[in-house]
Amino acid sequence: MLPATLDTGSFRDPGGQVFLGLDHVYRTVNPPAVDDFEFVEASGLIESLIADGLVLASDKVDRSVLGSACGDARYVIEHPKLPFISYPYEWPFSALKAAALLHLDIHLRALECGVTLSDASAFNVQFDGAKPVFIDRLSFVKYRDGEIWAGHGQFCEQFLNPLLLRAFFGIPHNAWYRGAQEGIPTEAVRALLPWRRMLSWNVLTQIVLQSAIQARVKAAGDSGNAGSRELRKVGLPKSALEGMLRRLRRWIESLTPADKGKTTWQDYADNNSYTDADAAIKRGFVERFVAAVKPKTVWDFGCNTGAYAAAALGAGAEYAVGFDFDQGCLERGFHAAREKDLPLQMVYLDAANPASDQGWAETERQGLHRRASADALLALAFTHHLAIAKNIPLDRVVGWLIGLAPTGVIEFVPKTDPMVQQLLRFREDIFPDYDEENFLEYVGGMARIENREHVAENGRLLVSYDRRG
Amino acid sequence: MGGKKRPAQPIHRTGTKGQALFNLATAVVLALAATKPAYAYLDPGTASVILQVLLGSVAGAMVVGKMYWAKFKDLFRRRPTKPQEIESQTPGKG
Repeated sequence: MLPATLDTGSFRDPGGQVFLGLDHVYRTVNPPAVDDFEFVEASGLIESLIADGLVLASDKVDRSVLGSACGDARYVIEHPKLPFISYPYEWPFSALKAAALLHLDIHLRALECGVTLSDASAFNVQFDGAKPVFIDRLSFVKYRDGEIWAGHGQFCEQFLNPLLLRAFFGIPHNAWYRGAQEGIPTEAVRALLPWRRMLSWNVLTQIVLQSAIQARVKAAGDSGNAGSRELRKVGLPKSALEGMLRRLRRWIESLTPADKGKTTWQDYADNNSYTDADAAIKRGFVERFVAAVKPKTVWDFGCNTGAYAAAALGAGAEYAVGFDFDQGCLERGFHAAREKDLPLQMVYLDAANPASDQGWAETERQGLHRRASADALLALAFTHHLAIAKNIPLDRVVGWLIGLAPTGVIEFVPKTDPMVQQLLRFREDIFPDYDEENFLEYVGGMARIENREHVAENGRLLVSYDRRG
Repeated sequence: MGGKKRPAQPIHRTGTKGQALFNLATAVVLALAATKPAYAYLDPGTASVILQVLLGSVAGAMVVGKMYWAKFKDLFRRRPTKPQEIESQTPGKG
């Protein structure tokens, strides 16, 4: 049996492939990439970027680690495995912005060493908590004087344009980006632009001019191969490339979401149907659960701003992923994790439509279930959003959750709770099985119920389960 | 956006006015023609290539412009004047 398996998302770059081992990720360096690899290695760039935490650590290891899967690879490099792989369409605005700035910073540092980046895929950035880290060693190639920035168009589509959607129009990038993995087309942003937005040099050049040229190129048909080669010879002076990168950096640094008003849930932690005493009970329950089960990774569904995920980390968990669909909560959680340097990653998730297997052959990007699993999950004040608001039968909600992690804490919020009352206010109650008794039966049918505790006088119930052995 | 312009860096290959104009003209002409993109691992996109060459040419032209502007100013500076006056006429940054 192979010690590592080929990552199904790794096929675009002939220079190398990615293999997934138990605790490490391996990257082969194939003949087409060897010259660049050796040049970049000799430049000392990667070492300094790793030392500063901008690039994922890597070591050259013996090729035998991959057995026969190694093929004609000349080198094999080993990376530590990140706790959770996420995709740009799952990142909150500020995470995508941090990833974009990281990309530009790395490119500028690389140019100082005579190195450039061969592409600008946002999927080459991953998160360790709230800290972005660049993962693709083979994107670093030798810079040839005067060459154009090959990743410019991709940078616009995968970083700049999705950020502009939110910064200009208040449209979160997540749903659109998920449906268009190459990113948000420049022409689409151009089509949305009001006149007053075009008064900026950045918008005028990067959006209006770029899409105008694109339109003309399309209209002119396929008759200018020689011209394209000629144009490449004209090239882009290095100082102009650096100037463009710095200008983009300043622009992106200045972007903030246009929808500054409060979102539905971002003040929920301060304004909800239970008291401080109830919150303390919940927190204590989570902490005791984590102390007893000792999970390494915890997934918190409907995490709000990540307070209980942070509590789980405080109680000994090593890494937490907080899932929510509220952009305001995700932003607050991301910034809190960043400020406190918590190993907490905030991820956009519509639980009624979780990230799915998609991309080429439906295996390039993985859905939540196939990508990873957690040691434990928290689902506090969460199930009613699926069972009542989305009409998903309670037994399926419970089954889905317990399928995601072998242990966890699930809170049941009864119909008498004001938050559930709100959901039922304008609709018929078509949920006869939505009660505590059925909830306990569904959980008990799939796992052992370890502990239970009523949180509030109105009957919220916390349950911890374990489906192992 | 905003920030002060950096001092001109005279290291361009496009470091002459003629070259800069040629670049600009080429880019505009090619913008109107069709181009077939690249054979590399990542296709940079024809629009992106043209845009970069255009912006690079504008930057180059600005460098050339600055150079000529400096020369133009020198015409006045080179007149026999007292050293103190030269000092007082020189702008803070180049």
